[in-house]
Amino acid sequence: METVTLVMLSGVTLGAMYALSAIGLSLIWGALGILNMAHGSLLAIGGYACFAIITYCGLSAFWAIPLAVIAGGLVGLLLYVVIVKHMFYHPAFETNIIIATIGLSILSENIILKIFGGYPFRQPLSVEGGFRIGEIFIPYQNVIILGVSIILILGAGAFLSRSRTGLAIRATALNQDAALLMGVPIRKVFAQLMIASGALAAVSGVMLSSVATLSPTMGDAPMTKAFIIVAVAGVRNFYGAFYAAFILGMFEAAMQFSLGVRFAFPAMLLLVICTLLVRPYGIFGRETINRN
Amino acid sequence: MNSPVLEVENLVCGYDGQAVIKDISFVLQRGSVIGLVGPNGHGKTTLLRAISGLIKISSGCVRFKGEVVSGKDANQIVEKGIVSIPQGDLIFTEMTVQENLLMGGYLPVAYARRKDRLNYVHGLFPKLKERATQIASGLSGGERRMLGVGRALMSTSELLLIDEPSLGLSPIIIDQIYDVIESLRVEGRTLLIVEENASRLMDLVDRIYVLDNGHIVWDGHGRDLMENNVLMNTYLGG
Amino acid sequence: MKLISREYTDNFSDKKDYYIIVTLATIGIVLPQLVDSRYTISQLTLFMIWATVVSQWNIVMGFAGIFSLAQLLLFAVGGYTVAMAGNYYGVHPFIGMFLGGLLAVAVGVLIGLACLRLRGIYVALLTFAIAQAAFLLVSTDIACFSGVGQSCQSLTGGPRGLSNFGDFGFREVLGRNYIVGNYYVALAALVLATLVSIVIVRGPLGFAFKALRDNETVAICAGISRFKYQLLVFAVSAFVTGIAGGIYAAHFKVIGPSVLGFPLMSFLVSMMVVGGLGKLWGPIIGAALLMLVDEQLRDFTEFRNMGLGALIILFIVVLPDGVVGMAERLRKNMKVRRS
Repeated sequence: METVTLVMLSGVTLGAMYALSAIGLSLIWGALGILNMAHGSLLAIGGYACFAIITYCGLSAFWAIPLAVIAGGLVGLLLYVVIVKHMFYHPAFETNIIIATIGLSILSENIILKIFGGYPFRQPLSVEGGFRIGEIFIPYQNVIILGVSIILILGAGAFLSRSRTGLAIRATALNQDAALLMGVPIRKVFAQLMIASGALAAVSGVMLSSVATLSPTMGDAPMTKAFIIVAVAGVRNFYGAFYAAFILGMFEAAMQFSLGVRFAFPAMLLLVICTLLVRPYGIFGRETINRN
Repeated sequence: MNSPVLEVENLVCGYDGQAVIKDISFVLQRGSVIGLVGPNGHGKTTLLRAISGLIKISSGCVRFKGEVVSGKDANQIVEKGIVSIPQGDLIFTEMTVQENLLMGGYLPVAYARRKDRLNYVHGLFPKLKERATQIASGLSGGERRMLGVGRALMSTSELLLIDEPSLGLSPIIIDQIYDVIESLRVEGRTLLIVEENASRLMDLVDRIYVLDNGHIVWDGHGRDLMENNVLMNTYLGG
Repeated sequence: MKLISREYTDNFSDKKDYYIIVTLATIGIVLPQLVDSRYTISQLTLFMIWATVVSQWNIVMGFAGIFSLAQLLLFAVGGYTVAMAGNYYGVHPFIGMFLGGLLAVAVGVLIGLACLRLRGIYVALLTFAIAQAAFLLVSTDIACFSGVGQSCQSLTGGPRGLSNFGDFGFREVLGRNYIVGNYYVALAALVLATLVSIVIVRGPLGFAFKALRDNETVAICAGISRFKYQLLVFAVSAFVTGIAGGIYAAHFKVIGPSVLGFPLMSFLVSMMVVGGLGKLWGPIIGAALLMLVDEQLRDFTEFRNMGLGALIILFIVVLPDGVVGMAERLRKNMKVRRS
């Protein structure tokens, strides 16, 4: 019984972290068909920005988090202006953008390395302490992560389904010509999406680094997990990604307890591959994305 | 009353440097309805795509209420007030019927009055009210067309470009769609309607143009076209 | 369904490709007689290993339209086969190399079966995740498997990698100049790789992929199965890539998980992108250019990876067809102007 509770709790925490990593990624994958291989770097940039603002500027978390979010948004905008904008109408965009973001990823990882060094820092933001449920200790930090991930998912989901801009984003993702004919400035929507993706990734990065440590490659593993979560959920499915994150988090936690930590990820990957063989567009997914 | 809304002057456009529309000019007066007919594959849709800004024009110009709009992005042209009902409907398949309609009223002026606009469209197409929460990909062909038309009518613009409203529909649905188009004419909207088959347009339009191989080969009143057997047999299959 | 593979636009005749390969092979054979420096020979060997890998990766990615990011996993399979077979069973690297090639085919087919029915972007993501999983498995492998001296060694050598599995054994034959032996083995691999590429691109498979690109529905109705052909190309390239991995291990006498890391992947991707993805000779030219640039930047190692990243972005945004694509465009323009 104890073990089951432990697995559940650890699975929920993992799921929350995966959901956090997946939000920004899912947004631009669904709408623009961008598999952002630099998403891990965006996570790291958010984490380091927060760290630098607190450590070097001496500001409190109250300022650090919004500033980190702004920094992430700026990087997202930069990604749009420097890379995406120029490639979007190339016939091989979907694959060229993967290559471009691989380049961006190694570039920004090494810039972080140059500025901060490879030494793993602690995120000064993390909250100490926790509480107990029976015998099990639950750190406050994990509760905060769960809360933030739920708020962000619900917030972003509500924005996409209820607001005018959210509607325009979804319309653009479905059919760009039709969106244009409704008067949607799709280039502006693309830029907004990239900014939102960067900003969301920054929040995720701050949260992730508060339980692990900061390192230039801290985003790589969460990014890989986020990839397979979005794939298994199906693109353009925000809530789907949320459920998938928790299902896979639970699964990974169970595997960690039964097979050992090393084999949890390969086991999870196997599960995902089997899922995709049966449902190529994901559990909650519909058809393929239409970029015309 | 007699002020030009849309002026197309010596328009040339096409794909990959291949001209599909070769030098076309016409004028659309406020409150008038124009029909554009001609065989398939002779540039009718291309012409509408060029006016709405989805494809670049090679030369010539398009003016809307005296202002040059050719060369602008499609969304800017919509903002000016040229709204399209594209061929094949291009509805947003994974959104609900209601969301599709709301997208039709995306521009701020229309969005602010979206309740009124929805009521108006629901009045024209009660089916769309019934199906409001359904995902649009589940609609039948006729319902899709109604959604396509209804979506465009969410906007407040007076000029509508309608591409093949009867394409692929059963006669009953075609009647319904044309009833709505007729009511738009009565409301005083300015319409440019493209059809392959001229018969539906005869009584509706003020003027009809026959398009062949990228040129306008004839224009005049609908009745005259119907009586012109040579023209009917050559271009419109009788 | 958007086709993601690129058009082959080089207008060489078939024969020209073979002339080029004979010329280049001849230069390759003569070169060690002219170059005295062991370092240079060693770098040339490394160039040929990378050129082999990217020429195969290019066939998979640029030609068959499989956006696989697991090519280096197949390379690692070859390398680790040589290392582990040599270390645990005393298998000679020459034999280990072929075993490695075959194992890479097995792994490649498994990955292919798992991924190739999916769309391009999913293939990228799954192959990346698989390679990443392999990297994590190897680099966290610290359980004792065998004792080496007083310390213990895990099955795969863990983060430190494996050594002590011998080399090709040219030292006994060639003495001090043994490295030239490695050089010729790598040269043979590169020639093999290039021949494989030419046969795939110019041969019946090339027609099949062209048909699939031009009109997939018609091609499928004509009995061309995309999946079958993609799997075939994937398997063939896996074999050559596995062999290249074996040569790498035997040449450096060590192999570690870094062959699965991001920096090496970026290095090889930049070769393809700079040379010209989807162009027959692009990756080889790219490999040569990148090795030269890398050599110049040896004193600035901390900026090396940054430079790689910037280079990849620059090329894919400004010159997505690489230098070969640019050369083709220039030649076409000149022809147009002349006529």
